[in-house]
Amino acid sequence: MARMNKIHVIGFSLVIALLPFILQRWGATAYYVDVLVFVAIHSILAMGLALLIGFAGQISLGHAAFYGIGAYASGLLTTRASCSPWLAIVAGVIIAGLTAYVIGVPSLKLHGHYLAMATLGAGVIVSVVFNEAVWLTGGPSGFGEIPPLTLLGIEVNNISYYYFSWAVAIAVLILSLNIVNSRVGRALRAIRDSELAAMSSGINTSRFKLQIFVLSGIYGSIAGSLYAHFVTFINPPPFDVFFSVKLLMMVCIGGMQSIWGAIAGAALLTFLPEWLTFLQDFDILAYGVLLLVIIVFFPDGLSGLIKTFISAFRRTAINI
Amino acid sequence: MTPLLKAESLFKNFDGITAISDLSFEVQDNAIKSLIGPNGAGKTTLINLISGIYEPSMGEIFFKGDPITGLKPYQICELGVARTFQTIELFRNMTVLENVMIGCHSKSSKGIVSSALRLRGVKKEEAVIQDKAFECLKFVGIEKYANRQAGTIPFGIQRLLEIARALASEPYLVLLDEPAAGLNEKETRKASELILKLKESGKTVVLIEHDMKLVMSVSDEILVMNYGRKIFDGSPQLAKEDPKVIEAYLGKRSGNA
Repeated sequence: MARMNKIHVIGFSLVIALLPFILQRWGATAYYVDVLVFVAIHSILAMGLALLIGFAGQISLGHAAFYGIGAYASGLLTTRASCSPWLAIVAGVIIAGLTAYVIGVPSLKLHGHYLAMATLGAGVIVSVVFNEAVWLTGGPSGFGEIPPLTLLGIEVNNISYYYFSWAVAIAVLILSLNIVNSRVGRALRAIRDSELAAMSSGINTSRFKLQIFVLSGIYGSIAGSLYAHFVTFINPPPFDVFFSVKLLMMVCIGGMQSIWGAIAGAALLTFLPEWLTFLQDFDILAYGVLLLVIIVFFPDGLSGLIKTFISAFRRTAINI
Repeated sequence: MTPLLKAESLFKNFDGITAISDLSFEVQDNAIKSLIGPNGAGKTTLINLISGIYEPSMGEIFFKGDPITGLKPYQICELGVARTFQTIELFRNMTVLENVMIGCHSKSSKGIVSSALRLRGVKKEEAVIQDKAFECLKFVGIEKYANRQAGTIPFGIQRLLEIARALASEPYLVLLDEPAAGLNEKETRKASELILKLKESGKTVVLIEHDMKLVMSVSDEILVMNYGRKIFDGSPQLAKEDPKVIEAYLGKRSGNA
């Protein structure tokens, strides 16, 4: 199992490394590399949410809040406090982790719809702060001139940002796969299947739920920092509740119980708007239809679909 | 000698309904004690109190002489009390082996950081957990189902899997909530053999069961409950002759009969 994972991760990393060259040969514009940076950012977010929803069985409808906290921490600390971007990323992680802890302690005692409402509320609160604390955040018009990241004195931009963001995403992928295939991952799945039996089998359920909630908050913050230094301008809309719902869609479409699925879902929902621009404002309709089709016909999402294909392929290969 | 488990005047109320009332009893080490009584007598409530799912409204529970009242279920499991569920609470989307590996949780330690970073010892601990879980499956005799998904195995095997999972936490005391409910005669016989095998291996058992043949054949002591109260506590032979027990099960003999 662990060995298969390693092979998959190495293969995936190779594809990511070669992708810009392949795109160039196909004549795609540099713009596509930018979109791929967003795929990396969204993947990090979706992987955190997949751990929470797909493995621990807890829902969050406010996850964009952590994304926003990371982005604003990076943006504000580098522009207002002329803090090093790396230090700002760490600060964002700490703030987001603490916020997740404070939200998680009371709300993770709730189940199902109540937990959804509590996290939704938390997401709205954070979003309101971004909009209304004008003195700090610049309010709805946001602020810009966020400095780029520098690594060993070299500015990380364009193609190097692509490699940097995917290096982070792949690190998150490895961490997440390790967790999923461990004692902790098993405990999380147990909580999802039967919280009652899990706690009676010696699992401190509230502690594990909180840990994974904080971890997914930290993933969100890292993604937010990557966003801030890439776009170099931030305002509230990318971190509002609608984006939380979109994140949820990524996880659902990818297949909730799969880390790889989260990446697939993030990729699809990041590219889709680019492909659907001809629909203009009706693209949201296309989203709705897509989500319905997947939930109704492929409840295990893209990852489930791929698994079905592979096993069908194996069967026919054997029959031949 | 201190009893392994002791309850002192336990009460449990649910919104004004008294489920357990002034219940005291002891369970000696390495004994099989059965809890019997009509439906709604409070037997499962009592198991939920001992395993920490509920907190008693009043009274105290002692395990190995120490109070465990108010502890969380996972803490009580860590101390060495494991249970099964009447309603079967398996991790249905996990394999049979993984279900039992969950039972090993309290006797293993690798946390989220060492797991995420695959620090030294993680792999080794996983191998130990897996071996132990397989031993538990062998003990109850369902090792051939190890890689099946728990939700897809036959009902009788699911009951046994509940016991295997409980054993994986290396408990001193096993609380079995109707382990033979819904089983056929052959399966019930196997269940009763397994319960005696638990005792042989040094465990103490508290058993809720409606099958009287099973109860009479395995029990060292019987606690009979009705309406949340204790109406009898003693040997199986005496229980059969006790007028209060007979009344609870068969109703009062009417005057002119």
